[in-house]
Amino acid sequence: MRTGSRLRQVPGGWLLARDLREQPRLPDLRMAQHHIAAHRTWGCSTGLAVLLREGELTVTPGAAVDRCGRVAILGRAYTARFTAGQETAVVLRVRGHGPAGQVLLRERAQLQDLDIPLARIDGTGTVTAGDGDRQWLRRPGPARRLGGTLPRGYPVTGTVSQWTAHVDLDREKLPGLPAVAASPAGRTPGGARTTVEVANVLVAGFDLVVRRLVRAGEVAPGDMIRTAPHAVSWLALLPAGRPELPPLEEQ
Amino acid sequence: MTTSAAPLPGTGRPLYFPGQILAADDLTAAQDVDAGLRQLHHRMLHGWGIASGLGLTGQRGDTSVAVGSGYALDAAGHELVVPAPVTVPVPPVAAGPDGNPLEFTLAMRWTPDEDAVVVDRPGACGAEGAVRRSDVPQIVWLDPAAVRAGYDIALAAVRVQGCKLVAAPELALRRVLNPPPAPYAASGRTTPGETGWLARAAPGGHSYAVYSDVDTSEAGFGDTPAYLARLDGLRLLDAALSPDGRPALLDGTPYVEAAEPGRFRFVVPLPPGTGFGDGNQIDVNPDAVVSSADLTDLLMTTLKWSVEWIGLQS
Repeated sequence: MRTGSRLRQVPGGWLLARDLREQPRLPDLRMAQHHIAAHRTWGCSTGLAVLLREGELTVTPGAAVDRCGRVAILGRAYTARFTAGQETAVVLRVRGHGPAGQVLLRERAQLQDLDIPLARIDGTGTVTAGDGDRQWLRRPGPARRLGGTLPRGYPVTGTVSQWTAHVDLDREKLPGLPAVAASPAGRTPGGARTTVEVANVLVAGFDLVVRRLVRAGEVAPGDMIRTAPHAVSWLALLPAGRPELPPLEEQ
Repeated sequence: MTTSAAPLPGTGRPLYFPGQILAADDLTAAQDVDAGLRQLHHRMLHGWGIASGLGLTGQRGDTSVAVGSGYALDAAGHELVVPAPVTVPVPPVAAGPDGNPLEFTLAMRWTPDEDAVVVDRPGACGAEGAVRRSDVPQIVWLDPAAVRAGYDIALAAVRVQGCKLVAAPELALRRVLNPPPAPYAASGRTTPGETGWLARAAPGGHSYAVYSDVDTSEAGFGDTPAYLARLDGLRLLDAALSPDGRPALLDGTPYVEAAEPGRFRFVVPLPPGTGFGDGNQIDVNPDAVVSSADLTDLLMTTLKWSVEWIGLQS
């Protein structure tokens, strides 16, 4: 079957075994192109945890996408005896045209082009899956993105040197805790350093604690204030999780 | 369908040979592979939520709401397509046990096989079976506590009294999928109490900053993103825990350096100063604390400093 050709059936035509075998190739090819071109990512999506316990190597079921955009699924846990001694890379490869995946061990951690790295095992049997040892697929984008600026004059409590503003997210009905970052958005007082601490993060909101720190030996003013002396911007993301899989015993 | 996570699709593909007797299972298996891979793709890279449409209209006093046509994905990767607008009657309830309005969530969900509308056709030798299955999703009113996140796609929350809406539907609970084109954004955090810190000493040996190397590889950034990061953890060091027996405030304006697709270094400068807290002047980053040999252990185990980050890759 030529790349990109689509099967067409005609009345009275013979339906050959080859036609049926090649039927899935086009959707597979299109999905692989979509992974590469539209999502621009490859690696492990979910599962595929590498465990080494008492000489037994286990890779849990999971799914991944290789550099060519092809899906690799490990439907059942992989187990094998493993003796630590030399550095080894644990990788997943697409078997045939997929979507079945197979686990392979690369001695001296020498990866091949279409390998999906899952973990590295050093000579002592320590499994590492940090940056570089495991390739991760992007997650689904954040479930919620929120942002805003508390303007100068916003109600606050505290003193000139340390004041707190509350950001109310109750109306957003967030189902989980967001990740929050904040920084001054307006001109801060000269001659002092300003820090912004995000505190008390809850689904219903969070506090911004703004501190104005003066040099050692100087006196930090303790005058009470009720409104923000400068603006503060914030960004909050509610992360979307990776696909959840049933517990191992259910698979 | 259960409320637990959806399993992975099967990996077997049907094969064919000349002279084979084709059974219904052979053709169905071929479709299942395609559908399973498409659903897995949705789960891996798109998540769940409302992709387009499914607007909801209704006002106080109405006895029904209108759901517009649209498209959503659930947490199992099913495509939920409402091809034409639908009118849904409000639950026929007078009020709750206490006389107050009752709350309901209008949700859309995948129709399981046992409830799906099918078209049957007779076969040979008295056999009969389904030849078409409708994938039109169910739209149902649910008790808010019974909503299964990811499997019941919430469209609106309403309050009902006397078989009528007591207010316009609330739409804040709708989860909307990211409309393209959108920069890829991901977030994460290090574990409080387990985040390692190192001191960066100035010439002369006095610490003036601490830093932590943060692994962001799980986010799967292809290029170096713009990182926004914040310091989480206690800032106030009690006198009893302070090396010099005086309370202190440890704080600074952190910044990111050495950013890469899978990591960055988070630096917190700790210049000395004076702050104001609890009605008193307080030392900020005093030399006795910042130069202490126990500083990094103090930050990790006592103040439980950790890093929360957001990465944006355009």
